[in-house]
Amino acid sequence: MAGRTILTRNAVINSTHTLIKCPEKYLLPSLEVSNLPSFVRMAYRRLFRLQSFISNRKMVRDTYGEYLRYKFKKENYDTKRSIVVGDTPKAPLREEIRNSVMFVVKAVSHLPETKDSKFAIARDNTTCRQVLKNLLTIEYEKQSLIARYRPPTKRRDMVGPYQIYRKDFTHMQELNKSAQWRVFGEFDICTVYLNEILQTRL
Amino acid sequence: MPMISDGFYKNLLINRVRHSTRVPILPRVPDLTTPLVTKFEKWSGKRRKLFFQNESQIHSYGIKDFELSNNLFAQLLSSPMRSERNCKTKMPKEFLMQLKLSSTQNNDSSKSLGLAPVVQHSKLNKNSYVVNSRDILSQQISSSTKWVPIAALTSQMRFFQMQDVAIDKSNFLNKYEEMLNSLLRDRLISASASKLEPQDGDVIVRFDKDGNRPIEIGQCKSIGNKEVKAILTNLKYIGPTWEQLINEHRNHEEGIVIRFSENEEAVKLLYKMLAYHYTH
Repeated sequence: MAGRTILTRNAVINSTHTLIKCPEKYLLPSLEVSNLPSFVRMAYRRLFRLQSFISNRKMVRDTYGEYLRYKFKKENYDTKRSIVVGDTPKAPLREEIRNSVMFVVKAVSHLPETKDSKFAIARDNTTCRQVLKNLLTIEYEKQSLIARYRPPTKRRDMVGPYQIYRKDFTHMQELNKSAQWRVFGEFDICTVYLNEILQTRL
Repeated sequence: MPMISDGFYKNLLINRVRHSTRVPILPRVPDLTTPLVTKFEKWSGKRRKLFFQNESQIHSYGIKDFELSNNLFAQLLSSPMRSERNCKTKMPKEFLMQLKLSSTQNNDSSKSLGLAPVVQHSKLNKNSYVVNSRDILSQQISSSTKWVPIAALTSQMRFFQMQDVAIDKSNFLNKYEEMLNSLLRDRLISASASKLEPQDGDVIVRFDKDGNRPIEIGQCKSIGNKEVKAILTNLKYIGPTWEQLINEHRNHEEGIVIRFSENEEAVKLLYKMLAYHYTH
């Protein structure tokens, strides 16, 4: 029946949404964690818990999971950052992690709004969701390019898309080499600028 | 035969039931403890969201407002995705150049349709999108027929052939540059009329001969030597003629200060201009 609301201990479920009431296990503790590696692991676990909130589609959830794994395990963010902003002083790592988790939480949060009561932060959250959605779309395009790539048998010196987009970031240095590099490069450069302003690490 | 009164049947049917309240007719339904009910959220199949009652509750968990409505990059990155026609990859449309297919106005042209870039995006007519880069477009201009909007080509409502579409290849980019130049000039002059003290996230338009990046995130001095984090843009990369404009219309010691939330159009045009001329 459309419009009927079901209440359980942890959630409110209506015809369109499942609203989870207890956000504690998705947020980082407010107290400072002295050990950095365990703090990073905490953030990783929380971001993975948020996976089911990202989308109802498995394809998008998988893209998000792959993206997290790449960000935490493989990416050399300092190289990527230095291409865009050079050697300028950067925000502390803890702050970046904290803000990044907050960004994803904001992207998946819901505030009950009516015509008369609007919340300013809800607009902010919508923008976060749109940015995250676009980020995952671009990630999906990159991932599928990497997955489709077959190295040519004759020319072994050819650089594959993984090397370009994930390791060397040549697409960010030579933007105008092709339309493909331009699209990914401009998006990545603007993401780094956004990170610089918000002190995040998307 | 004994007489049976009317009340007897009534007693049998109704009162007997009422007297026997100690033995319930229906078995009592036990409390539902099955996870199918108590954990309904796990399999409801609806979009999952974290629920916050109101603004104060969300703040109480330490979640802050990023003020993205005044953030150029967040607004660019959050615009809806469109497919880029050269590489067929999706990209937020604020990064792309919009091409419009419209019927040609002047009669001397033998072709009935024309494809031309526009500076300000709109939903009117059929559109397609290509990268906003002078270098790439000037290389790809020879294959510009593939930029014709697919929606128009596959439309059941009208029929045209590729030969009917006029693309002015020699002036394609020049016209765009002219439009962009004059519009940006206009908007910068009108934006410079209001005196703004720089705040976090504001855009400052400068002409810095020694600068080595078109866009930087840097510190800028506001009232009382307070440092704010601003987006510093350098028009050196567009052309030397812009120095005069900045010098004449500056509303701050650094250059022209524009706030995204107040003058969205000017900031987007500025980004478009810098991205168009970016050469690396």
